[in-house]
Amino acid sequence: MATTRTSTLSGGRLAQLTRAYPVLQGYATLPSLLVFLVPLLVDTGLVRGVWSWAVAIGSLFAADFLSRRVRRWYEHSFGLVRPAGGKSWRPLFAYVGVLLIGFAVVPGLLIRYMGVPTAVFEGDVLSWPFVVFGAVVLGIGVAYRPYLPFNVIAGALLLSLALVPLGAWLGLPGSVHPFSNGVVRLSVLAVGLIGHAFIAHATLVRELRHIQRELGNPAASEFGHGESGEAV
Amino acid sequence: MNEPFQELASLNKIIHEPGRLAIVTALSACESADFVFLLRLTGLSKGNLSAHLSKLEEAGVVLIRKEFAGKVPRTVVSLTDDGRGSVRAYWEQLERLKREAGKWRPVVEPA
Repeated sequence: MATTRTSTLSGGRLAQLTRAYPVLQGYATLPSLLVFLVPLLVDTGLVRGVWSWAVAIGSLFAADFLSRRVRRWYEHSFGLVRPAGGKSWRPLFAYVGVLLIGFAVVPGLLIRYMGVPTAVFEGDVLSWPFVVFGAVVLGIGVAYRPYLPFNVIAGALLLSLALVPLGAWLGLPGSVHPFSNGVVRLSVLAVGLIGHAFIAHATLVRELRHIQRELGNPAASEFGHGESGEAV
Repeated sequence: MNEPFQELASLNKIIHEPGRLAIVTALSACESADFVFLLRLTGLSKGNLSAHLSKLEEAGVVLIRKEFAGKVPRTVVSLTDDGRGSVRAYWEQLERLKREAGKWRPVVEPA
């Protein structure tokens, strides 16, 4: 369904917000932290053997359950909107799914428990899943560029760190990359995910406030007047 | 002759009211929205929003559906096809009046 031509506001900003609305529900991605913290537990020896699998699978379910609860909170507090032409009420589910796959299945399960080769550079080891994850983060940032420039920067940074032989550049011994340290790697991802969550949420709140101000006097907006009603 | 200004009085009054204009402007940018989202977006009180939605529904501008998310009821609102057309026509008329008002010059009576 095509959007109706209304005010200067609805031509872009409002329609754009309704499309990006699920992605801007940033707190819903926070439970993903649980999933990729599992490898950290394995690294530190707190979880071993068959329990590694149980904890990994359990963290997936727990993250999904918590993410649903957070989305329900968003529905309760911010409401639901179906974008023009949109078929699904919950594209966020797909978004969280991508994050879970990026965080959990690839680096968490495959690498940690199945011993999949992870090097993209001979002599300067780095996990290829980080290339995939960096590309996913970058893709989401580009798709929702007006709202998530942080993702563009974070994705590009992650890709750069994943693709350049940083270990060699920093003069670290052969085959050692800073990201080969589990704690460093997971901390970087955790900071990135938390950053995304808070920035996306803040963007949603800010956009809603901005649009509410414009909607409070849409005719004035159309005729080039400021919020006070005075000509600008 | 103050034609553009006289025509302002003929704007669709159901849509022209600021609260309802905010609602239909929000709805015209999406397929549908629930009550809470409209509340957030328009900044209206629950009572005001409810009253405006009732008037818009009576006028055939919006369609109101009751849905359940589990046990929680949810009010979903969307523009009807007629309503979407009315909103489009409203803004087109307003834009035309804006242009005409810009060209309008008062007729100065000779002293």
